[in-house]
Amino acid sequence: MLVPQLINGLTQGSLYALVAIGFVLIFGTMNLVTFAHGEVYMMGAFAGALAMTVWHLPWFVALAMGMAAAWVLGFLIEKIAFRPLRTAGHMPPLLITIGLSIILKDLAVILFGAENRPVPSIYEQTIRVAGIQISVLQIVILGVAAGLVVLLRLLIQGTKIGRAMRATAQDHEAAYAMGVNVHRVFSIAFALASCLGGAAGVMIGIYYNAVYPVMGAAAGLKGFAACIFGGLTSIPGAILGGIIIGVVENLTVQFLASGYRDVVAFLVMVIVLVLRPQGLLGRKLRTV
Amino acid sequence: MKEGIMKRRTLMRLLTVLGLAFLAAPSAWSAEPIHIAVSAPLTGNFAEYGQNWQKAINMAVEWINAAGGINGRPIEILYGDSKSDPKDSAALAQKFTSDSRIAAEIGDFSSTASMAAQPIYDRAGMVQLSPTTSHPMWAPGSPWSFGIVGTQAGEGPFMARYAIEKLGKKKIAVLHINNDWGIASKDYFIHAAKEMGAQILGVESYFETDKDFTAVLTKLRGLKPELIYVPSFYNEMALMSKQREKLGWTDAVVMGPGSLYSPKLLELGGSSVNGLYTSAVFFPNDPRPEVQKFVKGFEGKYKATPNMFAAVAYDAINLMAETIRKVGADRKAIRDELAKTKNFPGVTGKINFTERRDVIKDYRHLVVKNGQFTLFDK
Amino acid sequence: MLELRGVSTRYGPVQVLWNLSLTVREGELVCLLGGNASGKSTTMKTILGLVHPFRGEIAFRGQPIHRATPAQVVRAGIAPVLESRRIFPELTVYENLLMGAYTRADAAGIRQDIDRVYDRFPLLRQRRGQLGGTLSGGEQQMLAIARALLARPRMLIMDEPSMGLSPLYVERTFEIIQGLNREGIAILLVEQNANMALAIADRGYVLQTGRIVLSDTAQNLVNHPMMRKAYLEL
Ligand SMILES: Nc1ncnc2c1ncn2[C@@H]1O[C@H](COP(=O)(O)OP(=O)(O)OP(=O)(O)O)[C@@H](O)[C@H]1O
Ligand SMILES: [Mg+2]
Repeated sequence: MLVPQLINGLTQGSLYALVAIGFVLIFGTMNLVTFAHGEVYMMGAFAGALAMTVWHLPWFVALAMGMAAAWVLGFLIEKIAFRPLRTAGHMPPLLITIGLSIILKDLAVILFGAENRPVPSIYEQTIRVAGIQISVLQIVILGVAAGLVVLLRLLIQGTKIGRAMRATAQDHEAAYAMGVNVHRVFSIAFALASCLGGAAGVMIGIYYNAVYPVMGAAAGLKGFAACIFGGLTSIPGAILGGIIIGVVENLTVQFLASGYRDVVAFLVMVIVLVLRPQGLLGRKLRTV
Repeated sequence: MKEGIMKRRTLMRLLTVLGLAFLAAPSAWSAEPIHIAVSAPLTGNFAEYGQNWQKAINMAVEWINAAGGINGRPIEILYGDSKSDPKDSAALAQKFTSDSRIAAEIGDFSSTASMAAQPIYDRAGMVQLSPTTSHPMWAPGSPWSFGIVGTQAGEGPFMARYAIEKLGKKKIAVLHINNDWGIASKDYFIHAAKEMGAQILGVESYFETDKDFTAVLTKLRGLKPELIYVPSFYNEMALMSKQREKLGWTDAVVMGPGSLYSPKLLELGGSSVNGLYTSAVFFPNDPRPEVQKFVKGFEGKYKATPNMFAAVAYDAINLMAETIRKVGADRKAIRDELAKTKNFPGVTGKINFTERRDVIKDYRHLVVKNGQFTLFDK
Repeated sequence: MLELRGVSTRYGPVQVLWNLSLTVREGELVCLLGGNASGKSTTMKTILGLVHPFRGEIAFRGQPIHRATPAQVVRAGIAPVLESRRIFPELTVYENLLMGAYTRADAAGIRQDIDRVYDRFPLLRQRRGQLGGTLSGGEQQMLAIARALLARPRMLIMDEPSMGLSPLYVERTFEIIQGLNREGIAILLVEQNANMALAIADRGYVLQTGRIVLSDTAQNLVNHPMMRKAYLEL
C-alpha cells in the first residue's frame, strides 16, 4: 500500500502546491500575505461545481470557469484590500484580508448553503501500471497541476509581463523607474495567484466530490505552510513543499492514524524550519 | 400586466385563506382542545429535520381532529423552536412545564438537547417523548423520558448479525466517525461481531470535517477485509463510496447503520453506493397498511416521500394521542399509561417500551440496488 | 530641454527640496553636486516621477511632467541610471536590457538597439545569459548605462555612477558619459565626486540641504573659493 499512498499524497500535494504558488506570487511581488486565499480557492471551487451541476458543463470548462471566477475575485480583493493601503505597512492589509475571508465564507453560506454541495464524478476508471492500480482521476489531477505549472513558467519566463513581475519582485522601485506599471503588476500577480487557487479548488471539489463554504480554511493553511516550507518566494520550493505535505499526510494515515495527519505534516514543517530557517529553497522569485 | 395578474392571484389566495379560517375556526369545536408541546429545531443547522417532524405531526393531527379528535376534544400543537440547542431546549422546557394547559411534550431532536431539558421535565413531572434521541443513557435518565427510535445498543448487534449471519462476512474492518455517536455505534457493533466469531482486522476513524478518505481507504484496503462497517452519515458515505470507486476497490462490501438510510445517499452517491447494506426503522415501500396509509397521505399532502424523521415524529404524535385517548390529559396518568404501551403499531415498527423506556426496534434489512433502497430477502 | 521651476518635494511631513530651479539645455552635460543627504537623489526621483513635488513645475521639451508617472517620463525621453545601479539581480543581462526598453513596443528596433549596446559594451554580449547579480560592480554599471540607453533617451539622468567603483572603472564610466554626451544625449549627472564631474561637465549646480546654493559654468565652479574649500579635494 506504500505506492498507492504515495500517489494519493502526490495528487493531494500537487493541489496544495497550486495554492502555495499563489502565496509565493503574492508575497514575492508585493511582500504581503493574504488570509483570504483559502476563500478565493473555495469560491473558485463553487464556481466550478456550479458549472458542472447546474449547467452540466464538462469538467475542463468548469475548471476554466472556476479559474476565471477566482481571477476576478482576486483582482477585486487586491483593489479593495491592498491598493488603497499600499503604503500603510503590513498590518492593515493583513487584517482586511482576515475580514474578507470571513465575509466570503458567510457569503458562500448565504449563496450556496452551509452543507456539502455534491460534485459529479469524472474518470471513475482505474488503470493498472506494473501491478499497481492507479485512479485515472489522480492522473488527470496531476496532469492539470503540472500543466498549470508549465503554463505559469511560460508566462513568467517567456512574456513581457512575466519579466515585469520578476523585475518588480526583485526591485519594485527600479522596475517602476523603468516604466513598469507596478500597480498593474501587483493586480495581475494577485489575480494570477487567485486563479491558481481557484483551479486547485475546482480540482479538489472533483477529487473529493464535494465543495462547501469552510473548505478554504484547511487549504489556505496548508498552502501557506507549503509556501513557508519552500522558502516564501520560491516557486519550486512551494511545489516541493506542497508535495511533501501531501505525501507526509498520507503516509501518516498509513503508518499512524487518520487523526494525526495534520499534526505530523505541520511537525515536519516545523522541523524543516528549525534546520533551515530560510525554508527549503529560500530565493527570490526567479524561475519555475 | 404581469404584475397585475400576480397581485390579483395573491389577493385571491389571501381571501380564500381568510375565508376558510373564518369558516373553520369558530364552528368546528366547542370542546376545550388538548395541548401537546413540540420542542424541535425549526431553524438552524437541523431545521430540515425539525420541519420533517412538523409536516408529519401536522398531518397526523389533522387526521385525528377530522375523525373527531380525542373523545371529542381537538388536539392543538404548540411548537417551540429549540434549534436543537441545549440552552433553547431547556428554556422551552421551563415554558412548557409552567403552562398548565400542556399535557405532554414531544422532543427534542438531538441527544444533547433532549438531555439538557430532561431534569426540567423530570422535576415538573411532564412526559418528554423524543422521536429521535438514541443515546443509550437518555431514556433511563428520568422516569418521564421516553425514546422510540431505538438505541445503538440494539442496532449494533442487529447489524453484526446482518453482516455475519445473513451475508456470511467474517473478516471485517471498521471505519467510524470520531464523535460520541460514532464511537458508541462502532463499540456495540464490534462487541457483538466478535461474539459471533468475526475477525476485526482494523479500526480507523475520521473527523466530521474530513472530505478526503483516499488515504484511510487505501490503508483499509491493504487489510483485505470482506466487509467494511462504516458508522457514518449519508454525506460522508456518499463521498467515501465515490472515492472508493475511483480507487478501484470493489472486492469488499460496505455496510453501515440506519443513519445512512436517506434518499440523499442515493442522490449524492449515485452508482457508487450500489451494493451498500444498511438498515432502517422506517421503509416507505413496506407493504404494511399503516405504513402505506402514512406514505400515501404524506405524498399527497407534501409531494415528497416521508423520511425516517417524519416517520418517527408521526409515530410519536399518534402514540401520544392514543395514550391520552385511554387515560385523559393528566400528566401523570399519561406517563404511567405510556410506560405500559404494548405492541403499538407504529410505521417504524411495533412499539414496546423496555423497563428503561426505550424501544428495541425491529429493523428492516436493506440493500441498495440499481440506485434504490430495496428489502434484502435472502 | 529640462526645466525645474521652484520645485519643492517632501516625504510625508519632511520637506527635502526647497524651491529648486534648474535647467538642462539640449545636448548639455550638467552636474548636480552636493554632500550626503543634500537631496540629490530626491531631485532625480522628482524628475523621474518616482515622487511628485508638492509645489513648482517641471517641464521637459515644453511639456509639463511634474504629475507624470515614471512610464510617461521614460516615454517622453528621459532614462534613469539609478543610484547604486539597481540591476535586477535575478534577471539575465539580456533581460535587464529588455527592462530598459519596457515602455517600447517596436520589437525590431529593440533588437537593433540591443545589438548596438552589445557593440558598445562587448562584455555584455559575452555575458548576456548570465544573471545580473553575478556581474562585478563595474560590469553592473556598464549594464545600468546600457539598460538606460535601451529607452532611446534624449536625456540621461545618472545618480552617482562612480560610486563604489574601482578607479579604473570610474575613469571608464566618465569616458562613456562624455562619449554619450558627444553623441547628442543631454545628461544630468548627480555626483559627489565633484572633481571628475566638473572635468567633463558644461555647467554645474551645488545643492545644500535641499537648496541650490551655487550654479555656474563648470570652469567657474572649479575656481570658486567655496567649492575649493568644501567639495574639491585639492
Ligand atoms: N523615502 C524617503 N522617506 C523619507 N525621507 C527620505 C526618503 N528618501 C530620502 N529621504 C531623506 O531626504 C534627504 C535627502 O535624501 P537624498 O537621498 O535625496 O540625498 P542624497 O543627496 O542623494 O544623499 P546621498 O549622497 O547619500 O545619496 C535625506 O535626509 C534623507 O534621509
Ligand atoms: Mg543619493
